[in-house]
Amino acid sequence: MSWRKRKGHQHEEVTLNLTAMLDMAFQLLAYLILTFHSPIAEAQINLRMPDPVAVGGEGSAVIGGEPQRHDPREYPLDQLVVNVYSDHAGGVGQITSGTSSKNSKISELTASGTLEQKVGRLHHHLQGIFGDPGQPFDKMTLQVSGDIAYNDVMQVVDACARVNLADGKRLQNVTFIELPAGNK
Amino acid sequence: MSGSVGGAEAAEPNLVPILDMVFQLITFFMLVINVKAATMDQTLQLPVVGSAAPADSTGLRAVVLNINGEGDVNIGGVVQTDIKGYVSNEADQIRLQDGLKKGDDLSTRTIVVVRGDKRAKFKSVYAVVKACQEVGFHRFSYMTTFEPGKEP
Repeated sequence: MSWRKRKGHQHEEVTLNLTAMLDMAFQLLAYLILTFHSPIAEAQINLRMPDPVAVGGEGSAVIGGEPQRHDPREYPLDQLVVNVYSDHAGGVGQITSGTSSKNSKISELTASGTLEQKVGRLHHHLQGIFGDPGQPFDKMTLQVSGDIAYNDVMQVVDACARVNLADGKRLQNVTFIELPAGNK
Repeated sequence: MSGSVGGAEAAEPNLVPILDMVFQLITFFMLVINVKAATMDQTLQLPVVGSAAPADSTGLRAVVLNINGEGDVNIGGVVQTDIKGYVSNEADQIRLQDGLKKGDDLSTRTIVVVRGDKRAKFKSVYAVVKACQEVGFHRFSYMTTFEPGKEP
């Protein structure tokens, strides 16, 4: 860059050396280009998760590693319990649902087939329950075997989160409990 | 650019346009840089869930927890071994800032963002979720990704 500076009657040319500034700017640009990550498209499942209440009986779920046994009369009436057991490969095996220790088995629906089929049947089953205005449920507890892969659990959670309640709202009150080891 | 005609005159390129362009590029990258992305572990393989809603900002304060395939919890690039201590400390800080009492529910202003690797075991993720629930976090956002080709 150059410009003319008037000094008395003489014209003197002042030159500013921009090379150093350009070097610095290029270094800053290189850093920004190298550290730039294009944003990855991500999705989310939002849940409100109150403190879980373990359901005893057949599954005798655990909270904090300690076996909990509750009187069935203490179970919240508006809470449906779904048990997700692992298969031998660490995937989703049998799925049962119920409200108390005498869980009503739905193993015919969910014990066989691919994960997608199991999740589809579970969603259909849950929609029938939660979509019925005569049913008292608006919360759900998922009791899941600890050795199931997180990816498979999220397919189950997604099936639950897509359920519409009788008032048209999505089911969001879903909480987790880890089933004790050996519960398969 | 001014060229030389005589032998003794040095060639002097005009650097102003190139400097302008470089500054414009720097401005562009500084504007598009995502500061929040620094809290996210980009090496994680998130679960693929076809029907999940695209991620959007809830306007709530977010506590981002990255859980890798081995079950290690990475927060802001640092592996946290004492996750209970970490979330308890976070909860105390939030309560202090918001003037809340111990035991108050934090879910009105804070959301826990769980970014779990799809290869992790459920028990690893559950341990983190339970630690958060115990200190008063009850609102969670589970990050997933879309099936290839089905991005919005």
